[in-house]
Amino acid sequence: MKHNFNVLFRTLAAIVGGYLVSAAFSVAFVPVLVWGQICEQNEAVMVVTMLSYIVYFTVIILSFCRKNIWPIWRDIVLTVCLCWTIYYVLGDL
Amino acid sequence: MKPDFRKSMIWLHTYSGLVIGWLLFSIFLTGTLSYFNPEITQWMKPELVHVSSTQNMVNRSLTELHKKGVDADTWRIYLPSERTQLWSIQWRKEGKRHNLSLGPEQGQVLSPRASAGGNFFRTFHYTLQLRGYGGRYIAGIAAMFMLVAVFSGIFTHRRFFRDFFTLRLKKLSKTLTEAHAIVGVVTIPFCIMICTSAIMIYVIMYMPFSAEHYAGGQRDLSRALSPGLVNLDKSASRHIPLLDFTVVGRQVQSQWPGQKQIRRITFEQPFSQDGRIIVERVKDLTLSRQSKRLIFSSHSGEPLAGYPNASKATQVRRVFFGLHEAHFADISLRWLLFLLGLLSSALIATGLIIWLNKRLEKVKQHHIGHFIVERLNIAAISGLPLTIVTFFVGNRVLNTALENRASIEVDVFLWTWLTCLFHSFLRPAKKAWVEQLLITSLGCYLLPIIDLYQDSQRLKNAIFDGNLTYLTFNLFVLFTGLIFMKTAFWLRAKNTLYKTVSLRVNKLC
Amino acid sequence: MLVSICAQVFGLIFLSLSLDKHFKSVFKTALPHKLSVWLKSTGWLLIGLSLFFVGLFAITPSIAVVYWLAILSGNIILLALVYCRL
Repeated sequence: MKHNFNVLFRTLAAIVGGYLVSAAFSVAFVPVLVWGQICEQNEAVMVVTMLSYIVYFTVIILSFCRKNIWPIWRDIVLTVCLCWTIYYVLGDL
Repeated sequence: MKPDFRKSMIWLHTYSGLVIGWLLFSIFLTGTLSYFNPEITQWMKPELVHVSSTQNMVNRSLTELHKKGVDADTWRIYLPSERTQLWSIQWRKEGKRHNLSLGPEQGQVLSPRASAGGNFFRTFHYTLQLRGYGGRYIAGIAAMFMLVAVFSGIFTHRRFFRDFFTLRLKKLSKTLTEAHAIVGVVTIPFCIMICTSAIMIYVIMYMPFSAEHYAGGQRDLSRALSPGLVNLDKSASRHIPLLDFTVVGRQVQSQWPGQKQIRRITFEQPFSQDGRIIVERVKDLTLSRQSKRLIFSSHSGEPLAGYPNASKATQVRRVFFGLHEAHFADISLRWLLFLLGLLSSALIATGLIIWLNKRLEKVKQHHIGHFIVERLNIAAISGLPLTIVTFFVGNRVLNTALENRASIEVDVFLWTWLTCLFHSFLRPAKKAWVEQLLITSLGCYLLPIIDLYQDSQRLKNAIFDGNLTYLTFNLFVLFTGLIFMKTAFWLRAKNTLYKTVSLRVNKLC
Repeated sequence: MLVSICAQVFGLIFLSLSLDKHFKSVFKTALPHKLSVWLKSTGWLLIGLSLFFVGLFAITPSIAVVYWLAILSGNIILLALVYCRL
């Protein structure tokens, strides 16, 4: 039973949590690229969206590797908050 | 979750592979067939003739279009290539589309049988024959699962990077595991390339939040990143488009040296003063999906401003798309990619079989889950080839004058697959495997025979004209039939195939 | 192009022979360290050269890279299947 819960928890973290993190990343880092004058906004949207899949993949792999399961969601929430903060700070520039 | 990284990866590999395996096998197999999309279409439409050496095709197309497409909104001329042998003109007037396939003789119009052709496999592998965008989402999810499976697979078989392998053929389970490992290693770059490029094709659709927030949606983003030409003024005065393409052809030739560089010519608003000709180059020369285009005025043939450069990010996405479609590949590379695709499909198939074998060895009590896996394995791995062969047989056997013939062919495909599913659930496992494999090989042998029976001229013409497409298709089909037959006999001879799932009846009820 | 394929085949053979296990199964003697290093470096060099040769033949550099990777994959599996017969 415990094993099933463990698996379900990690699977949800990987699929749902991963999607949330990469979506947050894709919105938050556009102003970072624009602010760093790497490219203009529309191009940044494309670049960051493409890169967000790497983020997704990383979250999936990490969800299944870490020893304890609770830090997985903790870190997902923290990362989303971080992205939100970045967006809040830079987004209105 | 498991004490070390490698064990977690093994777990992840096992389960990600299992969950999506059957879908992935179908996508990979039909996608691999798409590498030869125009060749398969040629075989499926035997009424097509060799047109790619015809002279003066553009002017002849223009003559036809001037006759039939007066005051049309769009004209299109598709020039044939060695691979497609399809010369067609299209025009769109008041929302209705018309097209004609032209033949090499003066004024000849071909009427090939209505068939989805090889394009059925291409659209199937990303739409899964579903309406709307559902199939694309599911295929994208499958691609992501495959990436996870490949990545975790590298760590599962990590020690194979130090050694190479042996392939022991005596014991079936060992053969499968080692074949899986060797094919896995060989196809790592191919699979990663295919899955990543697959995701990059619909990159914004799967993750639309950024585009919606900053650019107002996917369409607006693409328009911003790869701007099209200016919109045409509909109210401009009328002007007849040019009759002789030579003036444009000369300019094209100077910019694109070489023979047969034009793939498609589009006339936008040909009967308007502002109408323009868009000449699109063949796709062999670039990795990108979008080949070069030149713009000219539709009545005077003078050059107009070209397409503005697409942004770097869009170009990167187009290269991903182009890598996936491999239009740049010439015949030898194409066969190599086809082989790698077949190997990847075999990778997934062996993985599914190995999963079941290993599980059946470990577990004492078989339950319904194992039964389902066993039967779905049969329905997918031997069922899909059977279905594909039936699709080809249907193409030959169905009456050419049938209405909706193209969708009836697809129905044949789908119903056959369903029948395979029933067959694999109702028969004992080993018999189901052998029977489906044998039927597939029978179908493969039947195909050239049906062809000969229907029209013996086809084969004679193909040999005399050197129609390699037709001949290679038939040869490959015969070869496939042989392989399936040998596999079926080999399986039948094996006394203990593997432990088949045995469910006690009283446990089921 | 053919040169590139041959270069790859030999490169891969050298690389696999540079490993103890395979050298022993072919030549039945132990693998001296110096020979192993020589085989490894020549093997990698040949594979790198094959990329150069494909580049001479293919239309653009990017298409050449695709060719090279595809041929390499093909060669690896051919080698593995043929090798187990030896």
